[in-house]
Amino acid sequence: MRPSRKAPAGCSFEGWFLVSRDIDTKTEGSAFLREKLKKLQDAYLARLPEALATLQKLSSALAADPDAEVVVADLHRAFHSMRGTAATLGLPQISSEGAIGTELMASFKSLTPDQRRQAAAATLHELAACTARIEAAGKAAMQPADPEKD
Amino acid sequence: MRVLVVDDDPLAAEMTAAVLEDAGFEAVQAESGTAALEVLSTDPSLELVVSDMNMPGISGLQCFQALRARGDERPFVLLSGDDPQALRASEPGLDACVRKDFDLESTLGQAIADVLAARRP
Repeated sequence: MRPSRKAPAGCSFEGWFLVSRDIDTKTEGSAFLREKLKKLQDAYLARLPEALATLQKLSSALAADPDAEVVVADLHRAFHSMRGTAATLGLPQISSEGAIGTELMASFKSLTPDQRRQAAAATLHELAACTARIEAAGKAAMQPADPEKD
Repeated sequence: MRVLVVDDDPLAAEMTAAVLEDAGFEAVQAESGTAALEVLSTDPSLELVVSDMNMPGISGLQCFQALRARGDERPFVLLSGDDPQALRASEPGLDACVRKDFDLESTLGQAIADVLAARRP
């Protein structure tokens, strides 16, 4: 069964059927593993709002002080972790956005203090857009598949 | 065989542990590199380490280096969202690097099989 998800209003990017990989199509691993994966995917999506709130809090801290190394490192780690964990749990759209956030923070990290101050507003804008797409992808992944589209 | 899974993300740790248990291993979890170093210093029954790379405090790579620095030669498999070949190239002493993705049960299982085969006398 191929998952079929509808993009939430306002979302225009393609590939929504890949928002959540269909665990039933996995040919490897046992029923135990598929069931476990489903539970962990559900748990991940349930805690996503908390993770997004953390990203927003860190973004606000970055806006207040673009040179705060701890904040820069925490934001980079948060997106990087999202990329890896979401990929493992079959949530490729969230993983892709995590990769975008990781790259944004890696670039920002490499800047000098002066460059950071100049780039902060644009980077924060892109991070906010990335976070919004993650939120939309999480909501789409939680919607039940439409059986008529299989 | 008992395997130590090191990951600060509890859901990722649980997924890795489930993959290992499904493959017949007994998985024990540690929430940080520091916790891993502590448990590995006192538990010789743990025969292999599967660690996330990107963790606060001690990274997976630093955990590996600390183990080798104290003479602990247990096989060490690093998991990362980054390119595993680049990571392996940066630290050739690692037994294996595996990308965190949806095919973890096949890629991690194969990596561990290869590591154990290479270590077999």
